[in-house]
Amino acid sequence: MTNRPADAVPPELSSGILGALDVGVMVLDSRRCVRLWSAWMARATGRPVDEAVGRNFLDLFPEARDSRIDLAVGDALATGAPAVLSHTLNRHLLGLTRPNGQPMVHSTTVRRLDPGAPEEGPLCLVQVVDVTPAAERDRQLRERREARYRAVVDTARDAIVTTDVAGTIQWLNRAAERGFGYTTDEAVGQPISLILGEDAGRWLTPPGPADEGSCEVTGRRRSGDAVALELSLARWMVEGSGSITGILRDITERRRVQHELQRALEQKSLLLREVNHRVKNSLHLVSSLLQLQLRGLSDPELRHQVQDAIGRIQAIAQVHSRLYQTERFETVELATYLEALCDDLVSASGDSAAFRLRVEADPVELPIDTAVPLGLIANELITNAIKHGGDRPLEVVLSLKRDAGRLLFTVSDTGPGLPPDFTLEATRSLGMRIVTTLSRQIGGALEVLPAARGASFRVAIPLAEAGVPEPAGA
Amino acid sequence: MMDLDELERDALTELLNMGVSRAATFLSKMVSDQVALSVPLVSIVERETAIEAFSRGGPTQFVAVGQSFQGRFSGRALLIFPEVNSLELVRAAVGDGYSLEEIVDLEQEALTEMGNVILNGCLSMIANALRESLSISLPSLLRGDGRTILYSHGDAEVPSDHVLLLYIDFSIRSRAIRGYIALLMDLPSLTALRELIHRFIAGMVPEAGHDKSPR
Repeated sequence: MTNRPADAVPPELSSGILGALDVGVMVLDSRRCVRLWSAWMARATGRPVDEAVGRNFLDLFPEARDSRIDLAVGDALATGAPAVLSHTLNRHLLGLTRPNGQPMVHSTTVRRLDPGAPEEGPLCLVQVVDVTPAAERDRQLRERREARYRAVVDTARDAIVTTDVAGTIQWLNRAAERGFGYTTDEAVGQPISLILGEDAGRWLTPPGPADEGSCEVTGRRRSGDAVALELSLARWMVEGSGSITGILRDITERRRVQHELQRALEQKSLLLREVNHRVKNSLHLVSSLLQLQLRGLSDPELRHQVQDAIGRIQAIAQVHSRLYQTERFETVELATYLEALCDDLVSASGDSAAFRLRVEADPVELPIDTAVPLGLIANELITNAIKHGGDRPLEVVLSLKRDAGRLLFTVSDTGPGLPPDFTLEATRSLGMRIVTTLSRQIGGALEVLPAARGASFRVAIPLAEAGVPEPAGA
Repeated sequence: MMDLDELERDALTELLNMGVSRAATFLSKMVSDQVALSVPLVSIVERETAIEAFSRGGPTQFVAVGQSFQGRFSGRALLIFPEVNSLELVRAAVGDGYSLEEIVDLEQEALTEMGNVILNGCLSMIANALRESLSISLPSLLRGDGRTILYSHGDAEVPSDHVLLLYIDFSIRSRAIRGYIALLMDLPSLTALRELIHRFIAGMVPEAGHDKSPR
């Protein structure tokens, strides 16, 4: 290029092109005096060509002394090293103005120009580009983007913090400023340990799959107070630069409420256990009073009646006894309950040799509204079996099974069996009327099963009616 | 494998040290903060060895500013630093008054200029001291892993097998930022550089010029 004959481009055309260029062009000689000053430079500096040419660069731009461009021109002339001076770091390097009087944001390139004649010494070419519109557009785009973004993040109640991948704070929202007590100026550039203390490692290690994107950490306010935080992290890339943004939710209040709820729940449990205990005791008291009354009675029919009443009261007392002995207050495990009920009946009879009670029950949790009637039904049927058992040793079997969406409760005995004319509808026994009524109350159907020996009663309750969840896959 | 003897290495280290300190002065001005750059290590390695050295442990993504140079010795100069440091470096240069988005927007141009300052410092110091004229290209910014960066050719195709590798430590007050300078040159260029270094040594210490035999 340097060897091209000087007349390859007519000088008029060269100067025409130079004048029309949309780039500022200035050529300095080795003494830094202006050799060429384009029309663009004249417009941007307000110095016409004849005023600038021949003058020293530093006379024209006194503020440039020892600046980046001064050094870059020196380097270019001495060694040929070219330099770029970006508007990002040197916003108004040469103090240029745009035609409308606005300060011009410009980028500058400085490079050595080989002189046409060797005896002349090196020249330096300075090109200036007006990047004001681009910088302005960037700024507007950024502001528009930020306005939308700020509307979200600055109204957020949770603290939001962004760091680079090394954990150096780059940005934080207002909630973070308020929550931790640092201004943006104070926090930016600081390590994330400023607000996370010893838990800062959790910020930099990617959360494991078990964390489901968030974990609980303890943060530190400026005052030194600890703050319980739920931390959700996202890693993201912009043009190859990694960043980490975290949302830090203050869960101090949530933890306090949780703690209080837990305490309230414990108190409620205690209270319910106490109530059940008292109900059981009161029912025992009632049955003791009836026992006392029983002593004064000689009429066998009356004695039977009172004994039946005592049995019924104890069946109910047993439910409450179960309730206060377990952690649950809404349901009763029926198998265990039936066992306990049978033990009560055996000890009440005072003659354990006369009959044997066997319970074959699947473990079933029943709501108390079903358990109490079912306990009373069991009590009546067992009492009946014992009452009509005759002289032979008697075995009574209680069975509780799940079957095709129903709960089947069966009481069978090895006694003499029902009289031939027995029907559920016609019986006048109080016990059987209680059984029929209670079965209906819990949505069940009572039936007499045909038995080769003894009697067998069955209550079938749809599981949905009994409040028992259907087993999975059924 | 070509290597430098102790005297050559010392001379080159000294040259680069002067270049780098000059760059540090400019950089300190740019970031309005104390910048320390050092040249603790100069070595000539094969390109594959250099790539391995970059990939070994630590960060694997880098940002680099590259400038090609041509003259009696030709090649490509690269300023390389881990990507994790790049935003910090920009923030150091433009000040803390910028938002993260602005920093990201400024990153490309700001890094290019900072790299330009450091590389020019080294290249002009070498050219000046060796009284050689170098034609140096404008800087360009690259991103990628060690291989992508060490195999990048700017405007000049440089089929270089050898890498003159310098480790420099940037330290900008509280921001510990580490970087490397690499000069990629082929064997003829390295040989030429070596000869020039000898001339330089001879010029500094007149009697050393008579003793060119290896020890």
